[in-house]
Amino acid sequence: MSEVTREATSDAPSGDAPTSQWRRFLTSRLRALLLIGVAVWVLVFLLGGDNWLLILNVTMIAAIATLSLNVLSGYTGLISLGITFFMGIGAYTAAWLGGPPPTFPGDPMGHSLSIFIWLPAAGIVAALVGALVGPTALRLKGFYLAIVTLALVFIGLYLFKNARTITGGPQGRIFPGPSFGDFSFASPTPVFGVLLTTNQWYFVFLTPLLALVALFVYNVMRSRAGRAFQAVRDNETGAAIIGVNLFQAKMGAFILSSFLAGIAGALWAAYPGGYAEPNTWDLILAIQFVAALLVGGVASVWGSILGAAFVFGLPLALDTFSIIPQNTSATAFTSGDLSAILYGGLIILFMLFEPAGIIGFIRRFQVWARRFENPTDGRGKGGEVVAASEQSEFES
Amino acid sequence: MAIRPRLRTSIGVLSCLAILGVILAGCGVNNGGGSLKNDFGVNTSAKTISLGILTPLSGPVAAPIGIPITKGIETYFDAVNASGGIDGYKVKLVEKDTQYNPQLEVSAYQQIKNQVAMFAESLGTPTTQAIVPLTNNDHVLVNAATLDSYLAREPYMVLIGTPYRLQVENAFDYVVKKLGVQHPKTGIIYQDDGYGQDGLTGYKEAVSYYGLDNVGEATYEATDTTFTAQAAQLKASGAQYVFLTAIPTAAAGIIGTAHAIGYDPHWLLQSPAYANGLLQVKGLNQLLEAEAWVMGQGATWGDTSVPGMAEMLNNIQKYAPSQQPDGYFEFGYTEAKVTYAILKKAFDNGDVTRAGLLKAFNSLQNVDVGGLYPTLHYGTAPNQRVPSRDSTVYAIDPTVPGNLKSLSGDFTGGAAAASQF
Amino acid sequence: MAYFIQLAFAGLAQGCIYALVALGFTIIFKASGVINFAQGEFLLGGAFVASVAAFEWRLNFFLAALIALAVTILVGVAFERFALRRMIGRPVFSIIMITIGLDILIRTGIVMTGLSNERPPAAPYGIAAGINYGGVHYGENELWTIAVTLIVCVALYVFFRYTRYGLAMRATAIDQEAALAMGINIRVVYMLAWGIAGAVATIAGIFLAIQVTTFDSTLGSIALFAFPAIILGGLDSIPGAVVGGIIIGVVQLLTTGYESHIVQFVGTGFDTITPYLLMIIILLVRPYGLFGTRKVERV
Repeated sequence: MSEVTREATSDAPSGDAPTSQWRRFLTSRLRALLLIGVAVWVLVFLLGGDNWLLILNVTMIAAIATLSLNVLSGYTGLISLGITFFMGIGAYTAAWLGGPPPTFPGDPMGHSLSIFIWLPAAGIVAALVGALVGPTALRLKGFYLAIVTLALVFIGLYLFKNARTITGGPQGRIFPGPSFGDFSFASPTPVFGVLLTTNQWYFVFLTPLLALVALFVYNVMRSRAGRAFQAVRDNETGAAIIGVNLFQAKMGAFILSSFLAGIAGALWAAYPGGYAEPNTWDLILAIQFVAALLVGGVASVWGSILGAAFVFGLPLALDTFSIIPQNTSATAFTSGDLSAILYGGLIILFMLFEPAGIIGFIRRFQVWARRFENPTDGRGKGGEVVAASEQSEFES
Repeated sequence: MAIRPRLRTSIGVLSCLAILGVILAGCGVNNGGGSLKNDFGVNTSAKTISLGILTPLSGPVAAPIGIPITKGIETYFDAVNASGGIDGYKVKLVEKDTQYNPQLEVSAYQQIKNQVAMFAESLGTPTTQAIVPLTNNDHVLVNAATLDSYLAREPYMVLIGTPYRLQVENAFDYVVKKLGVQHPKTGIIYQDDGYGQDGLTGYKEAVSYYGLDNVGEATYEATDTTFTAQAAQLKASGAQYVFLTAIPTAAAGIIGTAHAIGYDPHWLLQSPAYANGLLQVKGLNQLLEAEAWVMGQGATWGDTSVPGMAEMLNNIQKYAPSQQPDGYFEFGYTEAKVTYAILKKAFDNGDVTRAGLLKAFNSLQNVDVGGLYPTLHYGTAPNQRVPSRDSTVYAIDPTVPGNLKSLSGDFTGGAAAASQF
Repeated sequence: MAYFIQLAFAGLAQGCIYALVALGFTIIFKASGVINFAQGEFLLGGAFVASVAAFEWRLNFFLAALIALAVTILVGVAFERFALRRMIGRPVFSIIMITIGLDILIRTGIVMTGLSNERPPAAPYGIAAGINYGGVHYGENELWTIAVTLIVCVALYVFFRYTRYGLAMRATAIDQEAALAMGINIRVVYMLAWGIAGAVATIAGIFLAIQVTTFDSTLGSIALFAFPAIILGGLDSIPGAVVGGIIIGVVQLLTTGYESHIVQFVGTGFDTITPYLLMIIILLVRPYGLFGTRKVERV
C-alpha cells in the first residue's frame, strides 16, 4: 500500500491559460505547502521560546531514530527491539572522536575532532557493526528476530559498562555537540552580530538534517532497492521467486537502518545535556521508539515524525507546561504518572482501533472530509465512497 | 478539486501551530530598579527571590528520598518567610519533577533557569551530571543533593554532606581505630553503576590506608533478584566486615540470603542502603539489629540539646506536622540552611546577580547549621569543596525515633581527611 | 565443592521461577499465538497483591495468596477478552506492542498506589528457615519453589492429557480452524490459557518476592530472562519451557558465582548476558530449541 503521496503534480488549469514554469511552480500544491512551512518555521524560530524549541529539537532527533527503525521494521518488516544498541554505538563513536580529552586520570578518551568527522563516523561505525551483526540476526524471523535484537540491547549495555576508556563506565561521560573553533552550540557567541540561544542553534541545525534524512528515506523507498525492501516485507517467498536477492535486501535495510540509528544516537546523547550513562541505551528507550513507529504509522515518513512527536514530544510538553501542578504530598498524582498512563493507554487504544497509526487516522479523516466538496470526487462509479485501506501495511 | 481540503487542512494546522508558538513564547523577567544588583529570579517590586528545585516527585525514588528532601527545604523556607524573609525578600520555590531522568532534568532546568536566581536542589548523580555543562555556561549555582564526589570538581556545584567514598573510609576507620581490629578480612558488594563506583573507590582507598585484608569484591545489577552468588562468594572468602554500597531492596536481599546460607559477618551499610521499611520484614529486622551498621551523618532526631534540631522540630510542628522522623528531611533542611547562607551573604553584598551569588558562595568559608551537621567548610579548590568529611556509625534500633542510634559519635577518619579530589 | 552445590541449588530454584514464567508464555503462545510481554507485571502484580493483603489487610498467607491468584487471573482474562480478542490476525509487532502497553499500565498503576517501595513479601516462613547439610544450606523457600513447580508441572500434564478442556487446548494449539470445526469453544480456550498464565505468574511472583526479601516495582523485569528460556526449550514446547528455565537459572547462578575468577577477562555484569549468549548459540545451532517442533515452510 503506498504511503501518503506528495506528487508535485501541477494544478495548472486545463484549457488555454498560459502554463509557464513559474506559474506551475507557484500554483503547485507542494510549493505552497513548502512556503507555508518555511513561514511557520521562521515564526517558531523567532518566537517559540526555549521551552518549545527544546521540545521540537528532541522530537526531531527522535524522529531520525524512528525513521531508522521504520526503514528496518516498517518498510522491510524485520522486527527490531535493538535500536538503542546501534544508537549507543554511534554515540560512543562520536564521543571518542569528538569529545574532550581526559582531564583527570580515569576519564574517558576523546579527540576533540570536528562535527564533520564525528557525526558521519557515528553513522558509518554503527553501519559497520550492523553489517557484522546482520548475517547472524537475519537468519531469523518474527518473534525470534525480536528476541535476538532484545538480546543485543543487553549485550550492548554490558559492553558499554565495561569499555571504560570509551564510555566512561557506569559513571557516564560527556558527549560533544556541534562546535566550530571557539564557537559551540553549547555556549554560543554572537555570529554576525546576532546572538542566538543554544536551542535556536540546534533548531537551525536539526531541521534541515531531519528534512534531509526524511527525503532520503522517502526516495530510497521509491527506488528499486526500496521496492525490494517492501517486497521482502510483504511476501518473502514471492519476492525470492521474482528475483529479489533476499540476503542483499535485508542486509541493505539493516545497514541503512544502523547508519541512521548511529547518527540519531550521537545527537540523542549530545542534546540537550551532553552527558549520558550507559544505562541510557536500555530496553525501555528502544520500546519507546517502537511505540513511536507503530503509533505514528509504519512505512510512512510523516508517520515516523508524528509518532516521535507523540511519544517523545507530548510527554515533554505535558511536563513543561505543568498540566498537573507539582506538589510533594505522598500520594500526589504527578505529571510523570500522567505521562506513563497516557503513553501506555494510548498505545493500547491505537493498536486496538487504529493499527495504521496516526497516519491511518489522518487518511481516514481526509476521506471523510472529501465528502464535503465536489460530489463526484472520492467516489467510485457507482457513487460508493472509496475508503483508504484499513489494513495495516505491515505483515509478518 | 480534490486537493483543496488537504491544502486547507494543512494551512489550518500549520497556522494553529504558529499561533500556538507565539502564545507560548517564553516570559520575561521582571527587573525592577533599586540599589540591589540582580539579574534572574529576583523581583524587586514584589520583593521575592525564586529558587529552583529539580527532583523526582514521581517514580520509585520520589517517596523515599525525593519528597522528604524537598519537604525539608520547603519547611525551612516557610519558617524564613514567616519571619520576614531574607532582607525583606520572600523566598519562592519553583519545583519541577525530573522523575530521576537526566533528559527531563535538563528540560526542566532549561525551562526554569531564567526564572530563578539559583537552584536550591538538584537530586541524583546522573541527573545532576547532565546539567553540569549547562550550569557552567549559564553561571548558575546549584545545591546538589547527591553525595557523588566527582561533583566537587565543578565550580557551580554546592555540596552538602560527606561523599559516599568518604563514608566507606570512615566506616573502616571505626573498625580499625575505634574497635581496634587489626588487618580484618574485608569485602564489598556494590551496585554496578556510578553510585557503586564511588563506594568502590572509597573502599580501595581504605584498604591501602588501613591495611585491610581485601578478600572479596562482588557486584550486582540494580534489577537483580537473587543474591546467592554474591553472598556465597563472600562467605567462601571469609570476610568479617562487608561494606554494602547498595539500595535498600538489594541490601535486604543480600543480608537475608547470606544469613540463609549461614554467613553472618558485620555489615556496613552506605547511607542510602538502609530504609525504615526494611524493619517490617519478618526475620530481617533481628538480623539488621544484630549485624548491620549504617553510615550517616547529622544530629539524632529528637535530640533537642542541639539548637538546630530544636529549631527544626519546632518548624515541623508549625509547617509540616505530619512529618515522620526522616534523615532525608534533615538533609534537605540543612541544605536549605546553606542556601540561606549564600543568599544572605549576597544580599549583604548588595549583589544577587549570578556573579554575585558565586562570589558569595566562594567567600563562604564556614557555615554553621546549628549542629544538625558539623560546621560545613567551603572554599574554591576541589579539596575544599567537600564541606564535610565526617560520619557517624549508627546501629539500627527500633526503640529510638528514626530507628538509628549513634554508636560512634561524629568523627573524621584519617583516610577521609587525607583523601584527594 | 560445597560452594558449587550451593550455587547449583540456588540456580535450580531460580530456574524454577523462570520455568513458571516461561510456562505462562508458552501456554498463551500455544493457545493463541501471542507473546505476552506483560507476563512480568503479572508476576509483580501477584506478589504485590499478596503482600498488600498480608500486611495492609492483615490476612493469613494462604488467603492472601488466593486473593492474589484471583486478581491476576481476572486481569489476564479481562485483557484477553476485551483487548486481545480484537487483535486476532493483526501483525506480530502490533500484538507485542499492545501487551507492552498493558505492561506499562499495570506497573504504573501499582506505583501510583504509593505502596510499592520496599515491600515486605507475604511469607509463611522466616528467611533463614531450611535444612543444613554438608556445608550447604537448603533454604525452605527454595525447596518449596522447586516442589511447587513440580506440582504445577504434574498438574498441567494431567490437565492437558486427561481433561476435556486440556484436550481442547491441545487441539487448538495444533490447528485452530480444525478445532473450531470440531465444535471447540475457542473463547474458553483463550480464557483458560490466560488464566493459567496469570496463575503461574502469581505463584512465581510470590516465591520470588520471598527470595528477594523486599521488593519494589522492578520485580517484573526478571521475566525478560524467560525469553531465552523458551527459545532454549522450544517456543511451542511446555516441557521445553521448564527445562529451558532451569538451565538458564543454573547457568546464571554459576556464572555470577565464579565471575570473580574471570572478571579480568570479561569485566563485570557478564552474568546478565550469559542467558542471551546461550540463546544466540542455540538459535544458531538448533533453532527450534531442545524440544521444539521443526516447522516446514510451505510455498
